[in-house]
Amino acid sequence: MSEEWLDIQGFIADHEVLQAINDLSIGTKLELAGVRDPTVEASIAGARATLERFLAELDAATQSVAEDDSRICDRNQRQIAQAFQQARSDQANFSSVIVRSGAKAGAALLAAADKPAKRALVESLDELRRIVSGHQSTTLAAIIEEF
Amino acid sequence: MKSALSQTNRDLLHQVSALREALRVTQLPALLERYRASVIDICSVLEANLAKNLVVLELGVDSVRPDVLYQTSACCQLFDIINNRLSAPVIRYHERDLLALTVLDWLHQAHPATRGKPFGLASGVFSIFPHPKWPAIYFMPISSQIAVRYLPLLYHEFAHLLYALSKPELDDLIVDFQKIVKRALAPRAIRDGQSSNDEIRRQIQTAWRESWAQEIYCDAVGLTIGGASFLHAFSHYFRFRSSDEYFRRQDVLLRLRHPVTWLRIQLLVTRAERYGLGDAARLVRKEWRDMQDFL
Repeated sequence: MSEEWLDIQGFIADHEVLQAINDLSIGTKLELAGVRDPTVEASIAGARATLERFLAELDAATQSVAEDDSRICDRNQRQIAQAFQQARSDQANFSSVIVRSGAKAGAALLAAADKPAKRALVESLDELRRIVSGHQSTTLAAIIEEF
Repeated sequence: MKSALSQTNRDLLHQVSALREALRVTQLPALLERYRASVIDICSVLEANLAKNLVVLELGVDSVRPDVLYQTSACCQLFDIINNRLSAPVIRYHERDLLALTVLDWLHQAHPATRGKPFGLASGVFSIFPHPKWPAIYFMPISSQIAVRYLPLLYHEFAHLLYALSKPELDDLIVDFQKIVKRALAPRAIRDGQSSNDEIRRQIQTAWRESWAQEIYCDAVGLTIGGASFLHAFSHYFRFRSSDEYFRRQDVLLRLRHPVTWLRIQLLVTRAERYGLGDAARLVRKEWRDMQDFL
Protein backbone atom coordinates (compact mmCIF):
# COMPACT_ATOMS: atom_id res chain seq x y z
CA MET A 1 0.00 0.00 0.00
CA SER A 2 1.46 3.36 -0.95
CA GLU A 3 2.11 6.28 1.39
CA GLU A 4 -0.46 8.36 -0.46
CA TRP A 5 -3.26 5.90 0.16
CA LEU A 6 -2.25 5.52 3.81
CA ASP A 7 -2.65 9.30 4.05
CA ILE A 8 -6.08 9.09 2.39
CA GLN A 9 -7.09 6.34 4.81
CA GLY A 10 -6.09 8.65 7.67
CA PHE A 11 -7.97 11.53 6.06
CA ILE A 12 -11.17 9.43 5.76
CA ALA A 13 -10.93 8.25 9.37
CA ASP A 14 -10.44 11.84 10.58
CA HIS A 15 -13.25 13.04 8.30
CA GLU A 16 -15.75 10.63 9.88
CA VAL A 17 -14.83 11.84 13.36
CA LEU A 18 -14.92 15.51 12.34
CA GLN A 19 -18.32 14.99 10.69
CA ALA A 20 -19.63 13.53 13.96
CA ILE A 21 -18.10 16.37 16.01
CA ASN A 22 -19.69 18.98 13.73
CA ASP A 23 -23.10 17.25 13.77
CA LEU A 24 -23.16 16.91 17.57
CA SER A 25 -21.86 20.46 18.07
CA ILE A 26 -24.53 21.91 15.77
CA GLY A 27 -27.25 19.78 17.40
CA THR A 28 -26.21 20.80 20.92
CA LYS A 29 -25.95 24.52 20.06
CA LEU A 30 -29.40 24.43 18.48
CA GLU A 31 -30.78 22.75 21.64
CA LEU A 32 -29.17 25.49 23.77
CA ALA A 33 -30.79 28.11 21.51
CA GLY A 34 -34.18 26.40 21.77
CA VAL A 35 -34.31 25.69 18.03
CA ARG A 36 -35.41 22.34 16.63
CA ASP A 37 -34.83 20.92 13.15
CA PRO A 38 -35.63 17.33 12.10
CA THR A 39 -32.70 17.15 9.62
CA VAL A 40 -30.21 18.01 12.37
CA GLU A 41 -31.90 15.83 15.00
CA ALA A 42 -31.76 12.81 12.69
CA SER A 43 -27.96 12.92 12.63
CA ILE A 44 -27.30 13.35 16.36
CA ALA A 45 -27.66 9.71 17.47
CA GLY A 46 -25.25 8.54 14.76
CA ALA A 47 -22.79 11.29 15.63
CA ARG A 48 -22.89 10.31 19.29
CA ALA A 49 -22.28 6.63 18.45
CA THR A 50 -19.32 7.50 16.20
CA LEU A 51 -17.76 9.65 18.92
CA GLU A 52 -18.32 7.03 21.63
CA ARG A 53 -16.45 4.52 19.48
CA PHE A 54 -13.68 7.02 18.66
CA LEU A 55 -13.18 8.05 22.29
CA ALA A 56 -13.01 4.42 23.44
CA GLU A 57 -10.32 3.70 20.82
CA LEU A 58 -8.52 6.94 21.67
CA ASP A 59 -8.50 6.04 25.35
CA ALA A 60 -6.87 2.66 24.62
CA ALA A 61 -4.41 4.22 22.17
CA THR A 62 -3.33 7.02 24.54
CA GLN A 63 -2.67 4.45 27.28
CA SER A 64 -0.55 2.46 24.86
CA VAL A 65 1.36 5.56 23.76
CA ALA A 66 1.93 6.57 27.37
CA GLU A 67 3.49 3.15 28.04
CA ASP A 68 5.57 2.14 25.04
CA ASP A 69 3.11 2.21 22.08
CA SER A 70 4.15 -1.24 20.95
CA ARG A 71 0.50 -2.28 20.70
CA ILE A 72 -0.50 0.28 18.07
CA CYS A 73 -0.03 -1.02 14.52
CA ASP A 74 -1.74 1.91 12.83
CA ARG A 75 0.36 5.01 12.17
CA ASN A 76 -2.67 7.32 11.99
CA GLN A 77 -4.05 6.03 15.27
CA ARG A 78 -0.67 6.50 16.95
CA GLN A 79 -0.38 10.08 15.67
CA ILE A 80 -3.87 11.02 16.89
CA ALA A 81 -3.12 9.51 20.31
CA GLN A 82 0.16 11.45 20.51
CA ALA A 83 -1.61 14.68 19.48
CA PHE A 84 -4.21 14.10 22.20
CA GLN A 85 -1.47 13.47 24.78
CA GLN A 86 0.26 16.68 23.74
CA ALA A 87 -2.97 18.62 24.06
CA ARG A 88 -3.46 17.20 27.57
CA SER A 89 -0.12 18.62 28.64
CA ASP A 90 -0.81 21.98 26.95
CA GLN A 91 -3.08 23.39 29.66
CA ALA A 92 -2.70 26.95 28.41
CA ASN A 93 -4.48 26.11 25.14
CA PHE A 94 -6.67 23.15 26.08
CA SER A 95 -8.94 23.30 29.13
CA SER A 96 -12.12 21.41 28.19
CA VAL A 97 -13.50 18.44 30.14
CA ILE A 98 -12.58 15.89 27.45
CA VAL A 99 -8.97 17.03 27.25
CA ARG A 100 -8.49 17.58 31.02
CA SER A 101 -10.18 14.35 32.15
CA GLY A 102 -9.25 12.09 29.26
CA ALA A 103 -11.10 10.41 26.42
CA LYS A 104 -12.93 7.83 28.55
CA ALA A 105 -14.25 10.41 31.03
CA GLY A 106 -15.13 12.73 28.16
CA ALA A 107 -17.33 10.07 26.56
CA ALA A 108 -19.78 10.41 29.47
CA LEU A 109 -20.30 14.04 28.44
CA LEU A 110 -21.69 13.06 25.02
CA ALA A 111 -25.18 12.48 26.47
CA ALA A 112 -25.18 15.85 28.28
CA ALA A 113 -28.71 16.71 29.43
CA ASP A 114 -28.60 20.03 31.33
CA LYS A 115 -27.38 23.38 30.02
CA PRO A 116 -24.03 23.58 31.88
CA ALA A 117 -23.16 20.05 30.69
CA LYS A 118 -24.15 20.93 27.11
CA ARG A 119 -21.95 24.03 27.19
CA ALA A 120 -19.08 21.89 28.50
CA LEU A 121 -19.77 19.43 25.68
CA VAL A 122 -19.64 22.19 23.04
CA GLU A 123 -16.31 23.38 24.45
CA SER A 124 -14.96 19.82 24.50
CA LEU A 125 -16.08 19.15 20.93
CA ASP A 126 -14.38 22.33 19.77
CA GLU A 127 -11.05 21.29 21.32
CA LEU A 128 -11.37 17.73 20.05
CA ARG A 129 -11.99 19.16 16.59
CA ARG A 130 -8.82 21.25 16.83
CA ILE A 131 -6.80 18.14 17.70
CA VAL A 132 -8.24 15.95 14.94
CA SER A 133 -8.14 18.78 12.35
CA GLY A 134 -4.52 19.34 13.20
CA HIS A 135 -3.75 15.72 12.37
CA GLN A 136 -5.89 15.82 9.23
CA SER A 137 -4.12 18.91 7.92
CA THR A 138 -0.78 17.03 7.85
CA THR A 139 -2.24 14.08 5.89
CA LEU A 140 -4.10 16.51 3.62
CA ALA A 141 -0.86 18.37 2.85
CA ALA A 142 0.67 15.09 1.73
CA ILE A 143 -2.36 14.20 -0.40
CA ILE A 144 -2.57 17.61 -2.01
CA GLU A 145 1.12 17.48 -2.85
CA GLU A 146 0.36 14.38 -4.84
CA PHE A 147 -2.12 16.37 -6.89
CA MET B 1 -20.02 35.06 5.90
CA LYS B 2 -23.46 33.43 5.74
CA SER B 3 -23.95 34.24 2.05
CA ALA B 4 -20.39 33.11 1.19
CA LEU B 5 -20.94 29.79 2.98
CA SER B 6 -24.28 29.39 1.25
CA GLN B 7 -22.74 30.11 -2.15
CA THR B 8 -19.91 27.61 -1.61
CA ASN B 9 -22.30 24.86 -0.56
CA ARG B 10 -24.55 25.49 -3.57
CA ASP B 11 -21.56 25.48 -5.91
CA LEU B 12 -20.36 22.18 -4.45
CA LEU B 13 -23.82 20.71 -4.88
CA HIS B 14 -23.70 21.59 -8.59
CA GLN B 15 -20.26 20.01 -8.93
CA VAL B 16 -21.27 16.81 -7.13
CA SER B 17 -24.38 16.59 -9.27
CA ALA B 18 -22.30 17.01 -12.46
CA LEU B 19 -19.87 14.32 -11.35
CA ARG B 20 -22.70 11.96 -10.47
CA GLU B 21 -24.15 12.37 -13.95
CA ALA B 22 -20.75 11.73 -15.57
CA LEU B 23 -20.39 8.56 -13.48
CA ARG B 24 -23.91 7.45 -14.35
CA VAL B 25 -23.61 7.75 -18.13
CA THR B 26 -20.18 6.14 -18.62
CA GLN B 27 -20.38 2.80 -20.44
CA LEU B 28 -18.97 0.08 -18.20
CA PRO B 29 -18.72 -3.71 -18.14
CA ALA B 30 -20.81 -5.58 -15.54
CA LEU B 31 -17.66 -6.12 -13.43
CA LEU B 32 -17.58 -2.38 -12.60
CA GLU B 33 -21.27 -1.76 -11.90
CA ARG B 34 -20.90 -2.38 -8.19
CA TYR B 35 -17.99 0.07 -8.03
CA ARG B 36 -19.94 2.71 -9.93
CA ALA B 37 -22.92 2.30 -7.56
CA SER B 38 -20.71 2.64 -4.47
CA VAL B 39 -19.09 5.89 -5.68
CA ILE B 40 -22.50 7.31 -6.60
CA ASP B 41 -23.68 6.40 -3.07
CA ILE B 42 -20.74 8.32 -1.59
CA CYS B 43 -21.71 11.30 -3.77
CA SER B 44 -25.31 11.03 -2.47
CA VAL B 45 -24.13 11.15 1.15
CA LEU B 46 -22.01 14.20 0.33
CA GLU B 47 -25.01 15.89 -1.33
CA ALA B 48 -27.13 15.21 1.77
CA ASN B 49 -24.45 16.84 3.98
CA LEU B 50 -24.25 19.89 1.73
CA ALA B 51 -28.04 20.24 1.74
CA LYS B 52 -27.98 19.98 5.54
CA ASN B 53 -25.42 22.82 5.69
CA LEU B 54 -27.83 25.05 3.77
CA VAL B 55 -30.72 24.11 6.09
CA VAL B 56 -28.64 24.89 9.21
CA LEU B 57 -27.53 28.26 7.82
CA GLU B 58 -31.19 29.26 7.36
CA LEU B 59 -32.08 28.50 11.01
CA GLY B 60 -30.64 31.87 12.05
CA VAL B 61 -28.52 30.65 14.98
CA ASP B 62 -25.19 32.50 14.75
CA SER B 63 -23.32 30.17 17.13
CA VAL B 64 -23.43 27.30 14.60
CA ARG B 65 -21.75 29.25 11.80
CA PRO B 66 -18.19 28.08 12.74
CA ASP B 67 -19.46 24.48 12.67
CA VAL B 68 -20.99 25.00 9.22
CA LEU B 69 -17.69 26.50 8.08
CA TYR B 70 -15.87 23.36 9.28
CA GLN B 71 -18.51 21.16 7.61
CA THR B 72 -18.16 23.05 4.35
CA SER B 73 -14.35 22.69 4.37
CA ALA B 74 -14.70 18.98 5.12
CA CYS B 75 -17.12 18.58 2.20
CA CYS B 76 -14.71 20.42 -0.15
CA GLN B 77 -11.82 18.18 0.84
CA LEU B 78 -13.86 15.00 0.55
CA PHE B 79 -15.14 16.02 -2.88
CA ASP B 80 -11.55 16.54 -4.04
CA ILE B 81 -10.79 12.92 -3.20
CA ILE B 82 -13.97 11.62 -4.86
CA ASN B 83 -13.42 13.80 -7.92
CA ASN B 84 -9.71 13.17 -8.39
CA ARG B 85 -9.26 9.63 -7.11
CA LEU B 86 -12.44 7.60 -6.65
CA SER B 87 -13.93 8.55 -10.01
CA ALA B 88 -10.92 7.47 -12.05
CA PRO B 89 -11.76 3.74 -12.36
CA VAL B 90 -15.11 4.69 -13.92
CA ILE B 91 -14.25 7.73 -16.01
CA ARG B 92 -10.97 6.37 -17.41
CA TYR B 93 -12.31 2.84 -18.05
CA HIS B 94 -10.79 1.21 -21.15
CA GLU B 95 -11.44 -2.27 -22.50
CA ARG B 96 -7.77 -3.16 -21.79
CA ASP B 97 -8.83 -3.14 -18.09
CA LEU B 98 -10.96 -6.26 -18.64
CA LEU B 99 -8.16 -8.82 -18.17
CA ALA B 100 -7.09 -7.38 -14.79
CA LEU B 101 -10.70 -6.83 -13.73
CA THR B 102 -11.48 -10.48 -14.46
CA VAL B 103 -8.52 -11.62 -12.33
CA LEU B 104 -9.59 -9.28 -9.53
CA ASP B 105 -13.16 -10.53 -9.71
CA TRP B 106 -11.88 -14.11 -9.41
CA LEU B 107 -9.89 -13.11 -6.30
CA HIS B 108 -12.80 -11.29 -4.72
CA GLN B 109 -15.23 -14.14 -5.38
CA ALA B 110 -12.84 -16.65 -3.80
CA HIS B 111 -12.99 -15.15 -0.29
CA PRO B 112 -16.17 -14.62 1.77
CA ALA B 113 -14.90 -11.31 3.18
CA THR B 114 -14.41 -9.77 -0.26
CA ARG B 115 -17.21 -11.39 -2.25
CA GLY B 116 -19.53 -8.38 -2.21
CA LYS B 117 -16.80 -5.73 -2.01
CA PRO B 118 -16.83 -3.23 -4.88
CA PHE B 119 -13.48 -2.71 -6.60
CA GLY B 120 -12.11 -0.65 -9.44
CA LEU B 121 -8.91 -0.34 -11.44
CA ALA B 122 -6.77 2.71 -12.24
CA SER B 123 -3.35 3.33 -13.75
CA GLY B 124 -0.26 3.75 -11.60
CA VAL B 125 2.44 1.75 -9.85
CA PHE B 126 1.22 -1.54 -8.38
CA SER B 127 -0.70 -0.54 -5.24
CA ILE B 128 -4.14 -0.56 -3.71
CA PHE B 129 -6.47 1.67 -1.76
CA PRO B 130 -7.96 -0.83 0.71
CA HIS B 131 -10.67 0.44 3.03
CA PRO B 132 -13.25 -1.56 5.01
CA LYS B 133 -16.09 0.84 4.12
CA TRP B 134 -15.06 2.45 0.83
CA PRO B 135 -14.68 0.63 -2.50
CA ALA B 136 -11.20 -0.76 -3.16
CA ILE B 137 -9.10 0.68 -5.99
CA TYR B 138 -6.27 -1.36 -7.50
CA PHE B 139 -3.51 0.37 -9.44
CA MET B 140 -1.26 -1.13 -12.09
CA PRO B 141 0.98 0.30 -14.80
CA ILE B 142 -0.60 0.64 -18.24
CA SER B 143 1.84 -1.82 -19.85
CA SER B 144 0.89 -4.44 -17.22
CA GLN B 145 -2.81 -4.02 -18.03
CA ILE B 146 -2.22 -5.43 -21.54
CA ALA B 147 0.18 -8.25 -20.66
CA VAL B 148 0.11 -11.18 -18.25
CA ARG B 149 3.66 -11.27 -16.89
CA TYR B 150 3.06 -9.07 -13.84
CA LEU B 151 -0.64 -9.80 -13.23
CA PRO B 152 0.21 -12.05 -10.22
CA LEU B 153 1.46 -8.96 -8.38
CA LEU B 154 -2.23 -8.11 -7.92
CA TYR B 155 -2.35 -10.99 -5.43
CA HIS B 156 -0.09 -9.01 -3.07
CA GLU B 157 -2.35 -5.97 -3.39
CA PHE B 158 -5.45 -8.12 -2.76
CA ALA B 159 -3.79 -9.27 0.47
CA HIS B 160 -3.75 -5.63 1.68
CA LEU B 161 -7.54 -5.64 1.33
CA LEU B 162 -7.75 -8.91 3.29
CA TYR B 163 -5.61 -7.28 5.97
CA ALA B 164 -7.82 -4.19 6.10
CA LEU B 165 -10.94 -6.35 6.49
CA SER B 166 -9.37 -8.41 9.31
CA LYS B 167 -7.29 -5.65 10.83
CA PRO B 168 -7.93 -6.21 14.55
CA GLU B 169 -6.99 -9.91 14.39
CA LEU B 170 -3.94 -9.37 12.20
CA ASP B 171 -2.78 -6.40 14.27
CA ASP B 172 -2.86 -8.71 17.31
CA LEU B 173 -0.55 -11.12 15.47
CA ILE B 174 1.83 -8.28 14.71
CA VAL B 175 1.83 -7.21 18.35
CA ASP B 176 2.93 -10.76 19.22
CA PHE B 177 5.58 -10.58 16.49
CA GLN B 178 6.84 -7.35 18.06
CA LYS B 179 8.10 -9.36 21.04
CA ILE B 180 10.32 -11.37 18.69
CA VAL B 181 11.60 -8.19 17.03
CA LYS B 182 12.26 -6.59 20.42
CA ARG B 183 14.19 -9.64 21.66
CA ALA B 184 16.22 -9.81 18.44
CA LEU B 185 17.18 -6.14 18.73
CA ALA B 186 17.99 -6.15 22.44
CA PRO B 187 21.68 -5.47 23.02
CA ARG B 188 23.62 -8.28 24.68
CA ALA B 189 25.63 -5.76 26.68
CA ILE B 190 26.24 -2.05 26.81
CA ARG B 191 29.70 -0.80 27.73
CA ASP B 192 30.08 2.30 29.89
CA GLY B 193 30.04 5.40 27.70
CA GLN B 194 28.60 3.57 24.69
CA SER B 195 25.33 4.94 23.31
CA SER B 196 22.46 2.48 23.74
CA ASN B 197 20.92 3.07 20.25
CA ASP B 198 17.51 2.97 21.89
CA GLU B 199 16.12 5.42 19.35
CA ILE B 200 17.22 3.33 16.35
CA ARG B 201 15.77 0.19 17.95
CA ARG B 202 12.49 2.01 18.54
CA GLN B 203 12.38 3.16 14.92
CA ILE B 204 13.03 -0.37 13.64
CA GLN B 205 10.27 -1.76 15.86
CA THR B 206 7.88 0.96 14.65
CA ALA B 207 8.70 0.23 10.99
CA TRP B 208 8.02 -3.51 11.48
CA ARG B 209 4.87 -2.88 13.48
CA GLU B 210 3.26 -0.18 11.32
CA SER B 211 4.14 -1.33 7.83
CA TRP B 212 6.84 -3.92 7.13
CA ALA B 213 5.11 -6.88 8.78
CA GLN B 214 2.01 -6.25 6.70
CA GLU B 215 4.10 -6.17 3.50
CA ILE B 216 5.68 -9.53 4.38
CA TYR B 217 2.19 -10.92 5.08
CA CYS B 218 1.02 -9.69 1.67
CA ASP B 219 4.04 -11.28 -0.04
CA ALA B 220 3.19 -14.58 1.68
CA VAL B 221 -0.45 -14.39 0.59
CA GLY B 222 0.64 -13.54 -2.95
CA LEU B 223 2.84 -16.63 -3.03
CA THR B 224 0.09 -18.79 -1.50
CA ILE B 225 -2.35 -17.71 -4.22
CA GLY B 226 0.00 -17.54 -7.21
CA GLY B 227 2.74 -20.03 -6.43
CA ALA B 228 5.69 -19.92 -8.82
CA SER B 229 3.96 -17.36 -11.07
CA PHE B 230 3.89 -14.86 -8.21
CA LEU B 231 7.51 -15.59 -7.23
CA HIS B 232 8.76 -15.09 -10.79
CA ALA B 233 6.64 -11.96 -11.37
CA PHE B 234 7.93 -10.44 -8.11
CA SER B 235 11.54 -11.30 -8.89
CA HIS B 236 11.39 -10.04 -12.48
CA TYR B 237 9.69 -6.81 -11.46
CA PHE B 238 12.35 -5.84 -8.89
CA ARG B 239 15.61 -7.61 -9.75
CA PHE B 240 17.18 -5.02 -12.06
CA ARG B 241 15.16 -2.00 -10.98
CA SER B 242 17.90 -0.46 -8.85
CA SER B 243 20.70 -1.32 -6.44
CA ASP B 244 18.33 0.04 -3.77
CA GLU B 245 16.45 -3.27 -4.02
CA TYR B 246 19.53 -4.94 -2.49
CA PHE B 247 20.71 -2.42 0.05
CA ARG B 248 19.53 0.85 1.57
CA ARG B 249 21.10 3.13 4.15
CA GLN B 250 19.42 2.61 7.50
CA ASP B 251 18.14 6.18 7.87
CA VAL B 252 16.49 5.98 4.40
CA LEU B 253 15.14 2.46 4.90
CA LEU B 254 13.44 3.33 8.19
CA ARG B 255 11.36 5.99 6.43
CA LEU B 256 10.02 3.54 3.80
CA ARG B 257 6.83 1.51 3.96
CA HIS B 258 8.52 -1.63 2.58
CA PRO B 259 11.52 -3.54 3.91
CA VAL B 260 14.43 -3.89 1.48
CA THR B 261 13.43 -6.11 -1.45
CA TRP B 262 16.41 -8.45 -0.98
CA LEU B 263 14.98 -9.46 2.42
CA ARG B 264 11.52 -9.97 0.92
CA ILE B 265 13.03 -12.26 -1.72
CA GLN B 266 14.84 -14.34 0.92
CA LEU B 267 11.61 -14.81 2.87
CA LEU B 268 9.69 -15.65 -0.31
CA VAL B 269 12.13 -18.30 -1.56
CA THR B 270 12.24 -19.91 1.91
CA ARG B 271 8.46 -20.09 1.94
CA ALA B 272 8.39 -21.29 -1.69
CA GLU B 273 10.64 -24.23 -0.75
CA ARG B 274 8.21 -25.16 2.03
CA TYR B 275 5.41 -25.06 -0.54
CA GLY B 276 7.24 -27.59 -2.74
CA LEU B 277 8.32 -24.96 -5.30
CA GLY B 278 12.00 -25.90 -5.02
CA ASP B 279 12.91 -25.35 -8.69
CA ALA B 280 11.42 -21.84 -8.81
CA ALA B 281 13.00 -20.96 -5.44
CA ARG B 282 16.47 -22.11 -6.57
CA LEU B 283 16.26 -20.14 -9.80
CA VAL B 284 15.17 -16.92 -8.08
CA ARG B 285 17.73 -17.30 -5.30
CA LYS B 286 20.49 -17.73 -7.90
CA GLU B 287 19.30 -14.69 -9.94
CA TRP B 288 19.43 -12.46 -6.88
CA ARG B 289 22.74 -13.86 -5.64
CA ASP B 290 24.30 -13.29 -9.08
CA MET B 291 23.07 -9.69 -9.11
CA GLN B 292 24.21 -9.14 -5.54
CA ASP B 293 27.71 -10.45 -6.43
CA PHE B 294 27.78 -8.17 -9.47
CA LEU B 295 26.89 -5.14 -7.36
